Amino acid sequence: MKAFASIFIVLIYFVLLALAVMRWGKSKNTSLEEFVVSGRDTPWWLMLFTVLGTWFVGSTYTAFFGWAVFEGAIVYYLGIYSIMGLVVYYFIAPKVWVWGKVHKLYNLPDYILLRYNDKGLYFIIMLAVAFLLSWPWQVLALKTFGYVVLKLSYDTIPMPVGIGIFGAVIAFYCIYGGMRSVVMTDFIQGIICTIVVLGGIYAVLQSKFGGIGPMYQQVFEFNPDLLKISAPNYFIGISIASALGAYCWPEIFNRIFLSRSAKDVKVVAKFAPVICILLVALVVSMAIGGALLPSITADLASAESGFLIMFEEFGGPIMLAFAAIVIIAAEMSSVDSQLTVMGTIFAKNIVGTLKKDGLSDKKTVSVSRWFILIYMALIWYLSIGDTGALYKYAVISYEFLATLFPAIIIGILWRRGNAMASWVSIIGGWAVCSILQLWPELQGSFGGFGAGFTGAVTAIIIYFIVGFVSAEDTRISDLFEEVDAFKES
Amino acid sequence: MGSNTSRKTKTRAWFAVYFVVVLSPLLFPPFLKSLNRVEPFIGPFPFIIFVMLLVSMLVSAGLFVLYKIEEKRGDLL
Repeated sequence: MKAFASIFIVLIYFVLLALAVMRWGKSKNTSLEEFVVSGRDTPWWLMLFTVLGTWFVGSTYTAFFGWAVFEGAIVYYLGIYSIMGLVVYYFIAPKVWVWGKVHKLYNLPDYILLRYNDKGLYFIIMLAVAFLLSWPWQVLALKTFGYVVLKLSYDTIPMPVGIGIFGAVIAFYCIYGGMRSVVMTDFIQGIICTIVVLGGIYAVLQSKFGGIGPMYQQVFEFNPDLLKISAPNYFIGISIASALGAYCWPEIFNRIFLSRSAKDVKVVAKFAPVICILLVALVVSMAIGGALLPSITADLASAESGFLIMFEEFGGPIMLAFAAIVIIAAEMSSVDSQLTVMGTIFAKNIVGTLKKDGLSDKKTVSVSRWFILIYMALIWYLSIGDTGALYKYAVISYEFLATLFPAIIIGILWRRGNAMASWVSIIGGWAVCSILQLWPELQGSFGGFGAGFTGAVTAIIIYFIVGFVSAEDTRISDLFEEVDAFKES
Repeated sequence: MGSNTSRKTKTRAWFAVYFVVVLSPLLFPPFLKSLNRVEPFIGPFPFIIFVMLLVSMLVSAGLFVLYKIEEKRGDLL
């Protein structure tokens, strides 16, 4: 009966969501521009939650929640890196948007080719960000769906079925409406999740501990170490590496290209930080409070289910359903954009480049859709197997991703950065990252900041040195002038 | 256009400095180590958690003010 109630609520929610997507998220036409960047006509308020999807993924409410139960305040790094990421976003987004508009760019590899005019670099970065380093995160995301459905159904629906259901739902709307349906889904779910998280966590903290203040007092008496950062240097390292790495995912540029104007891109950075701070403060506070509850601290699995358990203990199957919706929505908002962008990268940038005459727009959309379908089936298959070692690979992949920061992001802000600087910085960054991964005992000699941070700093230093000693490229200078000229036109 | 670009660059440079200064208590090991304590509680929050929230709010406020300045001057690009 309990399982029926919670599943029924989630089903109703998804039926309403599907109706909304079919009403407002349908493609306006069959062009590539429409499928990939939603016709470049998205207003800021519709983009807001798609951009926030960069930082709020399902694991915020599962793996990171569990981490905060046992390690406490260090997990506030989620808020710090998100805020730093939004500062980076504020400075880079308008330029990226202008180049996208003027040169009809659709994704990150398109930008790399325009900025550096080097096909080798273009292929390396494309393969790394779109395929080699991102698939573990998508497999883990699907696993989260299965896990949530298992909990939601009080252990009656097996994980592979839950994974299959949500994999099919996401593939369906990505294929159906491309980025327009992705944006619409993220918007509706973002509003609902923000309301549920703000109201739900406040209510849980009130009912279990008498409020946020009394909760922190109780934790102070129980274990004051949870209220300090347990490893300060590691906190600094992951905050910076995560802020840098967040902008190297393939879908980020695509999210910027959706905007109808440079102004709309920037307005997002005006409002997003407030939502970020509120969500992180509440989620991490709730997790720290979970350290007081035996039902949460029993083992790691219970801690990672803490968000669901605490909602369920507070309001039964109805609140469990809402908690599940929050996690599913957060995971969907990252997987859907990634999938749509990967489909386009495969069709346009790989097949289109390798095929002698290229692909027509119509054919590109068609190949993208097939790719989404086949890729989703593949990651579903991978996710139902044993993924124990995958989490480690996923974390390592993120550390390698962070070393691409200078080539991708500093190149937007600094005109002297060039292809040679990018090549050398990537090789140097990956070499340092690999050495520190293979011999982790060496990390202590570099301050214990972690392999990703050390690799990224190495890459940044190399990029600046090579850029400074190289002659200025007039083609790149022209690209920068274009941004100012665009403003005048 | 030249003076506008220079004004825009200067404003952004000042704000970049502001962001670094505001974030420095959390990003430089000596500062973080000296602030990394539980007491005194400020409002409902332990000291270091309050510091992290305060830093986040100051960065957000900086972004808001920078946006307003650039919007007023027509320098959003």
